[in-house]
Amino acid sequence: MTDEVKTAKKAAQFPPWLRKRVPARGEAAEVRRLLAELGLATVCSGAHCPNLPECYARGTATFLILGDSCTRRCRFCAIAKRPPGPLRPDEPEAVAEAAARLHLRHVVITSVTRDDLPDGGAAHFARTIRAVRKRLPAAVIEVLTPDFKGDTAAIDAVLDARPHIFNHNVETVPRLYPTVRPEADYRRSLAVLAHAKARATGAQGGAKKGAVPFSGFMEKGTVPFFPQGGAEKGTAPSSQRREEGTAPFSARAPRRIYTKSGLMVGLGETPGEVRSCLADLRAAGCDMLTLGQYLAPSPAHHPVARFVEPAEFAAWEAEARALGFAAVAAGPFVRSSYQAESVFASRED
Amino acid sequence: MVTQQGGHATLRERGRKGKPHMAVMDVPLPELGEDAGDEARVSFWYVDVGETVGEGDDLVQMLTDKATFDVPSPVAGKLVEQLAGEEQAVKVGQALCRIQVGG
Repeated sequence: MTDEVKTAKKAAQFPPWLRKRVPARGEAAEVRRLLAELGLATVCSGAHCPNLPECYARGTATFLILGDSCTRRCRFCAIAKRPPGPLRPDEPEAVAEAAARLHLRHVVITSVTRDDLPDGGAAHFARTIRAVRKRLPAAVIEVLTPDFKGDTAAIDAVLDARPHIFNHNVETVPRLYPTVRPEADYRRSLAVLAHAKARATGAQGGAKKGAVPFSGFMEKGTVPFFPQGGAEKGTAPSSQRREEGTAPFSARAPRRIYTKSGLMVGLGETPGEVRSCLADLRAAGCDMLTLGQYLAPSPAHHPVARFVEPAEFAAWEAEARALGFAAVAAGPFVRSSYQAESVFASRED
Repeated sequence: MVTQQGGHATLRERGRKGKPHMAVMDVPLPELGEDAGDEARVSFWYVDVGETVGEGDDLVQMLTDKATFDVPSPVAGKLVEQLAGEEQAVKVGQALCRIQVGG
């Protein structure tokens, strides 16, 4: 029987572009064994990512720290929503060990949201960044953080460990927050990115002190998470310099920190809403963008409203580049950290 | 944990029993993004019982909640048994089919 006949036999549940081929060899099993041995979680598995077989077979994974259960109940996400346990003190070293044994050149670290912790887990993030840099001084380190409830001191603690890329996803357009990310706030997420950008830029050049390139978003009746001058509150202005001056591995710490964000499409947003979201991200100084198809982890999660065609993703990519994003990845299977190394390498700035 | 490599182990085990040319290998469902223990559904078989298949050729199409997956054969041989029919759910690690290695 030919493939055509067999394909016609069954009505496909997914459009043809949402089809993946599983690598034939068993490299994925080796990655899984290593993660199990070190007791590490990944967002790949936690989120039921369809790219997992491909990424694991390539020997990459995105580490999920601060535990494997989350304090928020976002309706797009498959990660367990149980009360989280205590932090594992040896987790930073375990992540570094795994990254070293996988010979990663680009290490992506993300986490669950820990609203139960006073610093949201920021210090643990910073420890993990430092542990990875110590083991792999040449690796590019990318963090994908929660919003830390907009706590600038927490964001600064992460930035002071000098990741190359600070990623925080807005995930969707503001209108859909109540149903998709009920405990998050669109403007707060933008403000997190804007603050990270201002802080990273300020630390590099010394300019823009106190200037959050985002004050426009603090109007319109939203909670002023970062009021004028708020970027300086709760920060330790000299810690940046201290880190660069005294840390034993400071030579490899990046001079510039890129900011990155992403959103899912197919949740019911309109093209106009996506367009203004991209503009908002640029206004927040966001350097890099990922745009991918939302896929429901189960029938109990937020339903897929629409499958966005590859041509539409291509159009979004062109539009985003025209808006000034230095790097853009857009496509049905694009995820925040999917092929993060080549996305970073593709940047034009 | 049973994985694709688990399949190779089965092959070696059967080979040691003295019939290397007649070795029959169980092909387990690989992880498709979900945790071990999760299920995927058989969409359709690319290969019927009795047909030969090359290493890396598509064996079966599976559906998870997130995507369609083409699962390739880890070995060249002849498909001797399909252990799950269309629409049937299979757990990660559970055998999908049996292949007589080398055909």
